[in-house]
Amino acid sequence: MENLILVTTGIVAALVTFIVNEKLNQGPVRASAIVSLVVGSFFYWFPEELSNELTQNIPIVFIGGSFIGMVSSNIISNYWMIGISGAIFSFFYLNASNFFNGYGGTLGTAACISLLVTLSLPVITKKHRIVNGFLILRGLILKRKK
Amino acid sequence: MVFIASILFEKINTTPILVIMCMISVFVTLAYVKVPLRHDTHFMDDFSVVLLVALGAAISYYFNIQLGLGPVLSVGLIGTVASFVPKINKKSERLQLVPGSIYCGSFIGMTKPSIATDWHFVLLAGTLAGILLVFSKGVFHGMGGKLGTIAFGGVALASLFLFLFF
Repeated sequence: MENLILVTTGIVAALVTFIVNEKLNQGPVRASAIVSLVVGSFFYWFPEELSNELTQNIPIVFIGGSFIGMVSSNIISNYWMIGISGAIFSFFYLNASNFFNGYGGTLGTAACISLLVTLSLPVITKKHRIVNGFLILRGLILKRKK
Repeated sequence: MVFIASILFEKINTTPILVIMCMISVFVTLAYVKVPLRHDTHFMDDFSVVLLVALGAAISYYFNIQLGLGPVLSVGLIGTVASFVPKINKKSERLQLVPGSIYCGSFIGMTKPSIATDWHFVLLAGTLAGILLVFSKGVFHGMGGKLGTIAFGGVALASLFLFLFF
């Protein structure tokens, strides 16, 4: 049950941040920071409202999920995909390696990987146009050979 | 990839997680081909970002460890204040760099005291992350989690340096 709450938190955090970032035009840093500040403050001032485990983990999952919502709408603008990224992030959080436990930036790394996973999905499901520096470079090299 | 590999090695006996992590590795590799790359030039001005990241790391570490606010509240507070800095002068290009740089640095301050033992570590990690941020200017532009990944790189490199040389 607690895992389900944490997965839902990841999804909600990503979606709320994306809405504040893109729809309310607050920019990625302010969107992520403000929503995290609100949730962090709530659990800082009311630590006994929920169980100890949830009080410790919800703010961390929320701030991690909020990093997903910092994505530009030029890259992803679909709410479903952002929600899926939030769920994948929570999966990462629940199965994170102890090796990097306590390192700053692990949440951001997990968020980035979650977004990359979601970004790769259209490659498999649809035939999207691929815009990439690697392909441009390959094109240049092939042109030179000709 | 190191981050995924560390999970893979740790969950080697848990087949479902191992399968999912392998799938994630494939997806991430596919995504690298799809994420747009911007070719930006680097100016010396950009290196002021290094100082800003180190500053963000130091403030966040102070809030998190010395004042005991905890990582989430510290980062939220610093990020919110930093996000309003460009409003001082909307035309200044340097001020536009402040929120991202400070927010990136603040993630370094989230490091637990068992790893970030003193200020030297925080400042070293901040400087390394700042350099990474400057060089990654055109990579993953607009991607969520980019700043956190850079902060993680700074912390991991700093702990590697300290492990190897001290």
